[in-house]
Amino acid sequence: MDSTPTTVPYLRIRNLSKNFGAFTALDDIDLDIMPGEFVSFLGPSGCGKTTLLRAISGLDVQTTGSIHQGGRDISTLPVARRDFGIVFQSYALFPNLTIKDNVAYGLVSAGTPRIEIDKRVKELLELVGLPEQAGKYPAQLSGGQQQRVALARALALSPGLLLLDEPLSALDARVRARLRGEVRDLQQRLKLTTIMVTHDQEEALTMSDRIVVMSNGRIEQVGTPDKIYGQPATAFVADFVGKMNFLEGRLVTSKRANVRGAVLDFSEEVPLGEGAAVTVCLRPEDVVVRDIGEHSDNRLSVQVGVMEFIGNHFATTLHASGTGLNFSADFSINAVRDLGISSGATIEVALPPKRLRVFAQPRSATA
Amino acid sequence: MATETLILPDRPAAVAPLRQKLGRDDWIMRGAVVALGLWLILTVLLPIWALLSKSFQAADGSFVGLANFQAYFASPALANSIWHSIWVSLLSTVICVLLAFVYAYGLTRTCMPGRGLFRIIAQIPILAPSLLPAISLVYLFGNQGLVKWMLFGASIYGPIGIVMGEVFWTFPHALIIITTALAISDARLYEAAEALRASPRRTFWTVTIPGARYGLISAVFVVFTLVITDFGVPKVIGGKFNVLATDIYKQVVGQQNFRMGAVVGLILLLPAALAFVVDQLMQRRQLALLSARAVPYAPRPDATIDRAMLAICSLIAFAILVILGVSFFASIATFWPYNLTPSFKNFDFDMMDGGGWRSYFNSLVMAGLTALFGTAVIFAGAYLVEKTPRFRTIRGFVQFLALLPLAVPGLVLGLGYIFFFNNPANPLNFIYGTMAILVICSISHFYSVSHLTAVTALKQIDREFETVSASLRVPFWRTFMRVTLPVCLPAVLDIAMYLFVNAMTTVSAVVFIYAPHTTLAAIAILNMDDAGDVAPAAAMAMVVFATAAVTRAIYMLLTQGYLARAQMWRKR
Amino acid sequence: MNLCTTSGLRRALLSIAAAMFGLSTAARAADLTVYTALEADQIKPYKAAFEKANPGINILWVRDSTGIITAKLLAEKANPKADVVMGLAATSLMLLQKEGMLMPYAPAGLDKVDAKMRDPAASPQWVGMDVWASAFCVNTVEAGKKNLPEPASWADLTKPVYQGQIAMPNPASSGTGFLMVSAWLQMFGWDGGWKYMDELHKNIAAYTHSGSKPCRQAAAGEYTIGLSFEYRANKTKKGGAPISIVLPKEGLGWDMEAIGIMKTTKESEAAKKLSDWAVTAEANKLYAENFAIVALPGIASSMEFIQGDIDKMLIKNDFAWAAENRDKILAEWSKRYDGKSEPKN
Repeated sequence: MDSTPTTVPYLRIRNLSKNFGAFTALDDIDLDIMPGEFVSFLGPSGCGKTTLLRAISGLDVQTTGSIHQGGRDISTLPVARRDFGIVFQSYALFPNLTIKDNVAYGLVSAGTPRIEIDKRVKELLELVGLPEQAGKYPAQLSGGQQQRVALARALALSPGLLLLDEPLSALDARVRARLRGEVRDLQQRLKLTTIMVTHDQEEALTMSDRIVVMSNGRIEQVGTPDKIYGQPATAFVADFVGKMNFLEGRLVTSKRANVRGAVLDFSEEVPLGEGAAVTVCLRPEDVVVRDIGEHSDNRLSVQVGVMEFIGNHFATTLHASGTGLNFSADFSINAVRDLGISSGATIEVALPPKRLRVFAQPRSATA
Repeated sequence: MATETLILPDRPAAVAPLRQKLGRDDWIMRGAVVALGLWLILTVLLPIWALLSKSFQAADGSFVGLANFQAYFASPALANSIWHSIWVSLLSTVICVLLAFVYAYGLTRTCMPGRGLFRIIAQIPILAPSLLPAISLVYLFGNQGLVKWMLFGASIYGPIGIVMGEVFWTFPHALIIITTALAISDARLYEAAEALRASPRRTFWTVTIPGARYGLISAVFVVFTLVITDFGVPKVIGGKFNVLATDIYKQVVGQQNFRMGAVVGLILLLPAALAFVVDQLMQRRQLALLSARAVPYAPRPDATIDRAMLAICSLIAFAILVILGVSFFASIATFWPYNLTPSFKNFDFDMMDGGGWRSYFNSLVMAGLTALFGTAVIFAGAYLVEKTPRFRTIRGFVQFLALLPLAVPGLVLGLGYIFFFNNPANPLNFIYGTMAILVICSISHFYSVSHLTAVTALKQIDREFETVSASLRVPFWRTFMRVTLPVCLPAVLDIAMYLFVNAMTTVSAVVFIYAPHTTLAAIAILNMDDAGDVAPAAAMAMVVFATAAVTRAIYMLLTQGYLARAQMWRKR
Repeated sequence: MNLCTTSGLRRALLSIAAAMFGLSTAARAADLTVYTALEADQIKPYKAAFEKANPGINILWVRDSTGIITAKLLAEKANPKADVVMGLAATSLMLLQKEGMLMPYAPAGLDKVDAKMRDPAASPQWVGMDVWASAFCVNTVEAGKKNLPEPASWADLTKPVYQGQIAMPNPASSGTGFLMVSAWLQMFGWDGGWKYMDELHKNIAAYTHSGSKPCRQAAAGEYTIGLSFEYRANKTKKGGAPISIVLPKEGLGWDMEAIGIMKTTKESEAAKKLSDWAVTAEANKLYAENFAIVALPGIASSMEFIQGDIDKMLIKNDFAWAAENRDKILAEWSKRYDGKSEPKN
């Protein structure tokens, strides 16, 4: 059967668990990664994302479970017999070798002829945008340049899989933002299957095809950035990715809940009985202040609390008049300017039913 | 296109954990770790074991329990030595640590002039055998001493001389530890104290002392161990005052009573082992004290304090220079104290006890080989222990073996070597009486400090070098040679110099195992002094000192000159 | 790496291995391990003369004080390292003889040796080389400063004026020390001897490890009087020390330096050659440079600073008794006086 190749996963992880003594670092992980896909492992420290990467690279073999890469069972292979390139947060460039020698490091051992090595190194340095730096030592380059060299070195042997372990964490914000785009661009051009471990949601959201959100050694959700952000599958994901209000209330109907005296409608049907305890999730930026009319759903009259100027927006706390409901909201600068919103003022806002997510209580312990 | 043909197993319930297949690198590294472990078992563990078991045996080798210990404690003169050893060591420790603290304070916390020079002078004692200060003290305070009056009629032969000699000899050891402890203190605490208007005195007792306390405690234990296990000083200047270290020598070399030597050795092992354990605990706490955000303290000029510290440090430095100088003048005087015309008569070692100039050349060869092989074994060993993936139990055991010599006094190790290697039943018996056993013994004797230096250097380089190399399918030894070794070159040279200087000056371990054709310079000093040739002994001590000093100078030139050029990559 | 440097490296490694394991790449010569208590400045000419006369034999000295060499030989009885014992006190050799460790051998030319100076058996287990006798070294400068009279006899040494002025070798480690103690016990009787030493002990400042050290210390003025032996006294004075040499008038303690072959030697041919050489006139002439009395009668001695006829002043010495009672004497001595001795015995 000549099926479309994209349906065959390049990396297939099954029933993967890792114990350190009594501590379970990875609990029965199943995951497929497609060829050419850029996947991020996202989660707080200790969630198991690094452990999973170390299992894939063979640095720390899993306790049970299997990993197949390109159809080959690599579950118990030593590092040197797997097929990946790796880039670390620390760059791990060899400080006493020139940039050229760093990039050529693997090629020399592979017995590549000198002329080809030179050609390949030139090619790789051009690829990462550093064609002029071959003769320098790592310490003479900036952090961002060093990380690009590390990338070039990891790509030198044309590996089937690229592993990025918090690659941008050591860089300052501006360089980080620029490199995100560059790395993603490079990965797209090479169509290289790539896994990145990160605790930075922005990084994961901007670079990935899919994100694997992890917590306590388990996968919470796998999905596109859009889906992870917009439709978090669990309260943990909702909490971890982006800012979120968690509003506790009880169901009135399957599409309506009473939250501390405020009645809120949502478009998603909740298969729970009347009176069931639920948590309604609302992103602060989803609070609407413009064009509020008679027919706006979930219209609330609110009192504006302290306005915090964040730079590109204002953050504030709103109190719904006549109820016990408090929640945070983000307003754009021009909305504040246009509508004259100020601390202490009473305004009208709406909470679009489509943007509310509802979970049954109790929420997971991590919230 | 790869087609999906995998058969995925059902979730297995509680199966045995997976084991990673071992790659070529794993096999080689593990093999090397095991080989290193065996080497350390042979050269450290078994000799110590031989000593321990000997102390529980009768002359014919049968087990007699504590009978030897009973015999030892039954002799009041011998049991007295324990008490002597303890109080002399305590007194030396207190004086040495106090002086070193003041000196270190001057070096790190004041702006007194000449700190660089003071630093260099303070290192002098490390370059000389412990016999040198003792010999100088005889010239200074002996019955014909230059400044005998300073003792107000007391005799230098005995506890006074021992304490003075030991303080001189252990001073740099204490200084290094305390200087480090003071140098890492956090400036922010001082700023806080100042902001709270604490008086300088209160700041000193509430900030300075607590900050340096682990360093001080560590220095106390190091000095105490050095003093209680040293026998060079009490041998030369102890007179009728017996201590444990001279007892062990007397029993073994003087009376060939090896069992009693083993008993004393075991007694000597106790304080050293205790000090080792306490020091390890201290170091663990010291690390916790250091926060990553600490700001180094920069002293501000203060005329009164700077002048006072300059006076005190000058006095200490002067004392060190005098002790060195006296040995120098005694060695070039024709016939001290009656004919002070300079001559090289005392350097005619071939007409004296101790093996003559050959001893000196033996020492050079021995120290050179110790530095060469020792550095190779210890650095490669530290690399393997640090970087071999997994294999934790064995690596932990080898690490333990590598640190063990720190708890074993040289005399005890040397005695263990006799018992272990001079046993005709031991297939390694053939190295007994050769240069090889001296080199092996010296490497073992100084293993731990070198190992720790190597481990510290290795921990400072990126942990991921090996991973990157493995992912690039580069064998580990290539990365070791091309990256790890060049990056750690300063530490490697440091180890080589440490081994060379110590092998050159040590007496304690090798005194039991040298042979007629492998006499050593430091032992020649001892034998010449024994025969009454004190001036030639001083002369040999000066030759040893000069050699160690030149080595040190070469090391400094290498690290500052050549290395600076060869290690361009360190610069931005 | 090219071939040239490889072979260079290999050669270097081989020579290091050779140095470390004491292997010799030259044609193997007979190495004769000789235990001795001779003075370091004596053994050089002996070795040179013997090796010149017997090319191919190489002496390796193991040198230490009499007591230590004796203890070492006894301790190694099960697995002896020595081939020959040369220049050790006859009392010590008699001890080895009693233990059955020596090989009877009559060196060529034995008939010329003074009959008193050898094991009387036809194939003697030891043969004497020379006699060494006790002497005082008195520092004249220090004695002058302190206004001390020069002692002339053993008895003088116990006078209170000499308190803290005398250094003497420890008999447990030093042969020179032992021959003094043995002489006192023989001259003054067992009880009288210990009584004398009790008195003397009050004046002793230090018991030294070696027999030479008291004289050298006297020479350096560290102590005014050093009880030592005539060779060291003569030599030290020759070296410019301000000392006078006193031979106590009651009589001199003395012992013989002697040579014997270890029964267990694997180099018996070479060992015998050394034994033969030791009784030659050539060897005796070398001994005579250091000692007044040597094994071959009629060889003139040349000790420029020793006045008096040493031969006549030697006490009647019962070596058999001294050897027999050595352990007992030393145990008694240690019990009484050990507190003041230097660390190494």
